[in-house]
Amino acid sequence: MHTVHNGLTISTQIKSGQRESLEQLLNEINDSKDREGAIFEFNKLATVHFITWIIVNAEETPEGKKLPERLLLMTSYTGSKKVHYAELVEIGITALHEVYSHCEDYSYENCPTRDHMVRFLKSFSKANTYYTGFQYITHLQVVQENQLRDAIQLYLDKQQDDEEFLSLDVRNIRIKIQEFVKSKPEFDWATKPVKKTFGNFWNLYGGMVIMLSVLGILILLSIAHIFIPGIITLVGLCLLISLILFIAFLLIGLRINESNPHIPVTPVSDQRIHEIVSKETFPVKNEMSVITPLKTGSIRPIFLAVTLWLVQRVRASSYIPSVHTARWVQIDKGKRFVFIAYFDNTSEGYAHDFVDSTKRTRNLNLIFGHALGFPVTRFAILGGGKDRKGYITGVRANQKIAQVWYSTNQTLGILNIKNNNEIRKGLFGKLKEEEIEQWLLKL
Amino acid sequence: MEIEKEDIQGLIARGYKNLPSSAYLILQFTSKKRASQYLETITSHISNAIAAPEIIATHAAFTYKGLEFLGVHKDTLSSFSRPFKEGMTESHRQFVLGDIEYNNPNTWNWGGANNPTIHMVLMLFAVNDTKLREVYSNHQNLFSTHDILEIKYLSTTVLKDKKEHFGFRDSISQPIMRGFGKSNELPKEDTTPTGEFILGYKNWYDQYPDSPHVKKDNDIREVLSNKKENQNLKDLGRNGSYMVFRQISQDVLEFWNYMKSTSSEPNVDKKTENAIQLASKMVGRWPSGAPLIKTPEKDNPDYATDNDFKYWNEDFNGLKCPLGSHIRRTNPRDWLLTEKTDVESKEMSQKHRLLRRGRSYGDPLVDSMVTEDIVNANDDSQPRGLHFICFVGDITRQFEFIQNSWVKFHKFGGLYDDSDPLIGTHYSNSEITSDTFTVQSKPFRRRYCNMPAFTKIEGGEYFFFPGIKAFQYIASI
Repeated sequence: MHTVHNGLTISTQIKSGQRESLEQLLNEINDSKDREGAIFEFNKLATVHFITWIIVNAEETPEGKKLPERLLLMTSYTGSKKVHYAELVEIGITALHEVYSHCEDYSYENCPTRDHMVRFLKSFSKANTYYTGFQYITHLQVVQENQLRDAIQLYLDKQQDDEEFLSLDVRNIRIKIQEFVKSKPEFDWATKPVKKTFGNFWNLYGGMVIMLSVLGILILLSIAHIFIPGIITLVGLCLLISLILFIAFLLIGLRINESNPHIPVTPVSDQRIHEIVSKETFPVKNEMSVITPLKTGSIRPIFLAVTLWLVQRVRASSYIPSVHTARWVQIDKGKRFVFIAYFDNTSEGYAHDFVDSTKRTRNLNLIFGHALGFPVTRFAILGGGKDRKGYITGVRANQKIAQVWYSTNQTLGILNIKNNNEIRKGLFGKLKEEEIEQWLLKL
Repeated sequence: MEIEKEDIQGLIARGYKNLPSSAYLILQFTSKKRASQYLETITSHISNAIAAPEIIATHAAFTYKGLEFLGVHKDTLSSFSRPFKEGMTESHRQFVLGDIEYNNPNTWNWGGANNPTIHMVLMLFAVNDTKLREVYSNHQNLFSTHDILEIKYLSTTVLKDKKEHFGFRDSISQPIMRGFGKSNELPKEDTTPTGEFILGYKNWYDQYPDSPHVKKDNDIREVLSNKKENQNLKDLGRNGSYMVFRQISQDVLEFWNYMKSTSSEPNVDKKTENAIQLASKMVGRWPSGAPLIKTPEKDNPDYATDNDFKYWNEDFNGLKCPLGSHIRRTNPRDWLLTEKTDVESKEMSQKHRLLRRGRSYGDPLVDSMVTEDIVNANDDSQPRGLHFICFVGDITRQFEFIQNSWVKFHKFGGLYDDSDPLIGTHYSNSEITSDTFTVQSKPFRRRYCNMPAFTKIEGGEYFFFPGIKAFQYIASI
């Protein structure tokens, strides 16, 4: 079994006239989530890191196409999607039934079987491009590794005035810590080495390997065609040329589209911003959802879809500071863009992560540049977020308030989670002296 | 672009070292008409930024409620920034700034819902106490004749050797604003765009900061300049700034008692040395001002004013200057653990700087300000602390970001339970522990837990510090 992180996104259309009661139900689910007898006992979900349920308003694209009122369920989970579906339905089938009774195409008057519920959810799932800041780490690991770190901290607190202990070399200090951990049966799991599995590698990098392999083969075949022409090499050459033409078509099409008159977004009121930020009351991490139709033009949904597809393939090498998980989704036949992120601290600081860095502004433009209300880009990556005022105005104008937001491990920042994992990984096993020195600095 | 120094209140340009006597008067108007008359009277006294005044300097700034009381048009009022309009003590802002627990505004002496409404702060700087008293007396007479209530008289003090009350040299690191001081002699990358601190000029994003405006028709006397981005509006913010004012009391005795309590050393001199060493770790500089990055083992006054250092390459793991130390949090320079390189870190951190102009208040615990004497001084139960004052072009991006993400946030720099050891809010509950200080060291770190509060917020508010023409406009409404 692999422990790769993924995002599940379920997009359903809300039945006409059902929004109010749905919103009320979702609010009740949210309010009760930390209580005994919660409507949806999220804290029993072992595969989950975050869950959001959010209602998306009916709105129009710039071309006047009507986009319906939707309900989005977005989960961040570890491991097999099948297991995740099964767990969601096992623990939350009653709540899921109540919620989806408000949505189109949900035909069950009484609570359906788990299989039927899974089938319903699957039929409305959407591909998403997903980023995580703590790849491979499960919810259980986060909890256990934090308990381990806490215990080591208390142990070291007792030793920090012990001259004899402090006079030990780093190798022996590590041995002392190992002995302490071994003496605690609850940390038996930590004494076992962390194994790298092919399943993890393939689930994360497989897409990129296949993509690069195909590209490499096409290039090789094209070169070979010059020297040893044949049917296969000719097919390779044709496919490569087609690919290049397709990319050129996208770039030229986008560039033409970029010169369309910019439709500025109307800044939202201070009251609305206050309403949004007032929800950010969690002391360590918070949530941000930005949902908007795309800018005008049929090239935009295609360009964005290709970009998101590519980003999903190379996601293992991407980096967004202070983010636990994030995702980008296209819904309504690609006409509407959804971005959701769970990050450390408040949205003010988080929003700045993108526009205070030149490099990240370029990356931001590649995706956000298509969203209605965001500043004009040039050649997909230039301009755009460089207009910091326009960017912030666009974010706030399109930011939505989630009806349900559930997060595990509320007390840990993303750097804490990663550091705890490093502590665990370096606790046992062979390390050189310099590596032990570095490991001790993580404590 | 030419800096209009004749229209900028001089406090933005300089801290008036030559005017050591000063006071801040927190005021409330009771009559709009008389308040306007008072402002008209003092307009000519407001000091500009052209040259340093030699005898007296006068400055004034307004709260949102003050501008509202003076009859500023509602469209103009709504064009001010959101934090200024909402005020420092708005309920969610208390969470953002860490004004909770013992720093809750309900406990403040001025500002907040439990104290009289503030309309204006008058700031007087004088060459000596006699002159200050004279000027203050003149203003008191004016207050009386213009029905202005003096809510608070906040005195200040200049401590020996440019120190603050704990005994550390202060105000060494300041951004160098383009167009002022020695900025022309420095490479552009070492200076900060004027618009980071003064409205009407471009900021780091090559944009004009949001600035309050007035409809052309409402500027009857035509004192204001047109807005650069919109010629149909007059720029009320031009050459002005947002001023953050927080009175922070310092518990000097508690501070040094805690430092001493962490050492079991029986010898008094050695105990004092250990206490100073730990306190210096918390500050990030030694009492002389020498940065730990330059001289990590002991104080060296040769480096007293040294501000030419970085963290990424010199001290990535915080072994010289702890990751959670005060100066590393309030200005992380080229080290942000969330970034991948020093260049990216610097690019991020330079967008969040303040121009500080505060002063200490209260008598020092010992007149000599020798740190060893302060460490072992007896309690005198006298109030003392810092009137923290800073200027920013964007309260949210600058002051609130620093206070929230770097000072208050207990996860800053990958830490777990550490807020700023000096000015963070130290407490512990089921969700948060923020009263720990971690000293990174070899072979492993040393943790100091259950730190008490060394400072406390006693009052505060956001002010609009107008340009001189804007001041005239406000007076003329």
